[in-house]
Amino acid sequence: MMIKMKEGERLVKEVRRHWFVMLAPVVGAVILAFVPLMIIIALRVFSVNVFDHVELGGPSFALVAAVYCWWLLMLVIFTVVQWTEYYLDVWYITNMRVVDIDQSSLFSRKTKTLSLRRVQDITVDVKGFIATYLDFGDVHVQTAGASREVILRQSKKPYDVKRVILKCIEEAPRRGEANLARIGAEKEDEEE
Amino acid sequence: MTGGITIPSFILWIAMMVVLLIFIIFSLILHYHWKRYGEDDPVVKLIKKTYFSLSFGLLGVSVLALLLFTFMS
Repeated sequence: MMIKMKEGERLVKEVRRHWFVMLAPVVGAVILAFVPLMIIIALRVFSVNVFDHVELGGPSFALVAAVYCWWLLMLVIFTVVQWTEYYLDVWYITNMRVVDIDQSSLFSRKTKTLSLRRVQDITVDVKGFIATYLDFGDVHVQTAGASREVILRQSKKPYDVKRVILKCIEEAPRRGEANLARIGAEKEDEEE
Repeated sequence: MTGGITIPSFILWIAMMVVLLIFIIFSLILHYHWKRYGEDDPVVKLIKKTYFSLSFGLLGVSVLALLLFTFMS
């Protein structure tokens, strides 16, 4: 977990963006991995004599294989970087607060913390056929604090996220009432 | 010398060094992020294993292929 919990705090839900967000980079990388092979095949089909001297097992083939491995390595690095950015972008919903960790790139990370008692409104925004079918969308949480609104974009099961936050707000201990209860208990002990 | 692609070997080995440098830089950056933010996470551990296995495999094959090219051409 990427946050330190306070005393009495427990993690209720960890929310990430929907896997669909990673689909474009992964599919793109897979397609790009096959592009050099498709080019070679196309050149042979159209009788372009660029790779005529490349014999299987020969030095030219070894060179083509080495360059292709470099190409695949770059694609692997690119995909893993994209995944890391996706995975480190997370919301933690605890019984006391919502922590929004926004990892927009490898070297850009913002952390916002919202106390549940400051939440005033939660809105879910699901737009489009794919978002509706796959059940992902934006969750907007409006607060009374300096950072007026926090948005979890492309969250999976956004209505569940809203439900969980509302439940945590209902169950969150009110500090004033807890203190009154504690003071009352102490007075009773003194009287006894 | 057989016919075909004729590139001096040292240029290819320099290119290999550049690729290796890029790999090392990105691996260090990724390792920092994984260690700092996902050290106990099983998903991060799986991705780490997969990434390094694939990368070392590709690097190994490319080095072998370059050695083959260097000694056969």
